[in-house]
Amino acid sequence: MWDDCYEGKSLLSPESTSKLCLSITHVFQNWLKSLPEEIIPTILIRLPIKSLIRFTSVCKSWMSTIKDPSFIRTHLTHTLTLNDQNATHLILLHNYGFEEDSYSLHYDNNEVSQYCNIEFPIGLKNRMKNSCFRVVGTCDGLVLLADDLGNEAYNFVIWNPSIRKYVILPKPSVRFSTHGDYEANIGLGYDAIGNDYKLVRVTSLVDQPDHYPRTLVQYYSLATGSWGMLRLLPPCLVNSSRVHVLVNGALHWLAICWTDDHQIKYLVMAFDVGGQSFREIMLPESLQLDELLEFRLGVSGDRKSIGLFVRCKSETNCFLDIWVMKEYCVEKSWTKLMILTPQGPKRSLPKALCFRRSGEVVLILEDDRELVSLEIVSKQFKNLGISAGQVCFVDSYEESLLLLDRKDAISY
Amino acid sequence: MKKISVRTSDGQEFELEENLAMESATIKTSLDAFSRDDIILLPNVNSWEMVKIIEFFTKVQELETKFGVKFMEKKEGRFLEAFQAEFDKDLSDDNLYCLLWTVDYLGIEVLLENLCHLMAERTKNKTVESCRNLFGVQHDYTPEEEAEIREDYSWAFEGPEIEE
Repeated sequence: MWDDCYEGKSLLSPESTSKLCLSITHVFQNWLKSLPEEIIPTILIRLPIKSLIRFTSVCKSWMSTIKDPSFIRTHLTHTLTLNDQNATHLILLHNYGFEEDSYSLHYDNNEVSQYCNIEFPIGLKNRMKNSCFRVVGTCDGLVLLADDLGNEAYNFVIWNPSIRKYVILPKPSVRFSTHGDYEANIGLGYDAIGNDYKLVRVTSLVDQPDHYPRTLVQYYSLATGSWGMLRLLPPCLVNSSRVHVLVNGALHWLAICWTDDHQIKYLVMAFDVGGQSFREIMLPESLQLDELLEFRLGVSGDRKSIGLFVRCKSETNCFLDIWVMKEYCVEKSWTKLMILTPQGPKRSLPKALCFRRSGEVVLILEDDRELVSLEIVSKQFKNLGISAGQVCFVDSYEESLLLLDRKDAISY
Repeated sequence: MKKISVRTSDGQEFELEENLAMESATIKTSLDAFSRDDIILLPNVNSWEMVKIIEFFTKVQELETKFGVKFMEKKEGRFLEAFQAEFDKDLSDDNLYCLLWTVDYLGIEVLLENLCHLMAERTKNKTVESCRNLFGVQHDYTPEEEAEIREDYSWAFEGPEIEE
């Protein structure tokens, strides 16, 4: 166009002048047209996390938008809605074995294809008393890590692997040195009333004069960064299964109760994180209690209720029962979905890990520790191509920006 | 169906079907205030933008027929893919930016959502510098401040997907 204007080094022709004017007007108009402030978050909310982190350096106003707690909350809600609509969900896998300690995210699809590898914060390794941190659970993109096996280990970390930030919790007030021997169970949940994430720790002290254990409930609030004690008595003692289930805003653990005639009763104890209250959920009535039984809780496939895995491996009896409570808190709705018996030439009985969204059950095969997915209706086993180490954790995960606005969170 | 006439900044006139014109909150306000027989002047809208907007509504009607769903109710998902494929081509980053401004000015909610999504797709793999250029944002960090962010989050600045 510039060539047009300088035809044979003579003056601008009328045609070229008007073209030039139009072009300048266009540029001027574009410069004036700066997007209104309100639109920016609408665009940002649709960006992936890595881009958002990078764009905090675009300008100060973008930084404050992205770090704003309500933006973080809206971004999470948007991610969850989108995942549900597109049926793209993620699974977190932690595998610890002789030669590896790996964390990774996978798609919750047929192939369980890898989404990405996760780098574990090196700084944490130096603090460990045990050989690895165990993943206790996840909530809205936050991962609760615990290095708490043994008497002097009280390392709790809340970690967001998607933004590579973590918070090391201060030591809890209930410890072996202060309270004697106890059983403890922990879990991380969202308090919708206080808009806060809470680590709830239920400790059942065993060294009591009347031989009946006393239970203390502590909680760590992410918002205040400190521990508190709840003046609540849970109805029962926790069972040291170390597995909890987070569903419907409540943390669930297996617990033991003593009936009036001194019989032991197993049940599920549910703690509503927002309402700070306990309730009891009965186990299936037909369940025969036995010392040789191993129980494990899980979230149901539809993520609205709980499931139960009951495993028995003895000389006389060998089975894995898979139950689900079809209607949450309706005890009559407990349904036995399947009974698994020893499989294969070695007569090995798998262990159940969790339900997938598809309703399939993830199992660890006893001998070679391979992970398989069991389809309940067709009874088909599908090898997932993943070997479980000594410690193996599998659960749902969703990415979020939580902890980005935490000043004391450590980046790595 | 009644037709509404509009005139863009460069003097071109367009005839819109009434129900489509009413999707623009700005045009709707004008119609409520003035007679429907008058031409509505849109000095902030360019003719190429108007062409694109009409193209969008035509496409919506096509997709509604194809999928049998009211597009206005469904904002994300499969519909978005079909929309994106058609709308995305021949639209430069700068043009998309201008169109976004215009659609926001006209108050066409449903198209705005889709353009925001498109804009996010275009932006996500950009470097910080090209993002600033696209949005016309003032660089207000000191070199030290910017270096600190880059150091804290160095992983977010690296990767094969980031465009040069």
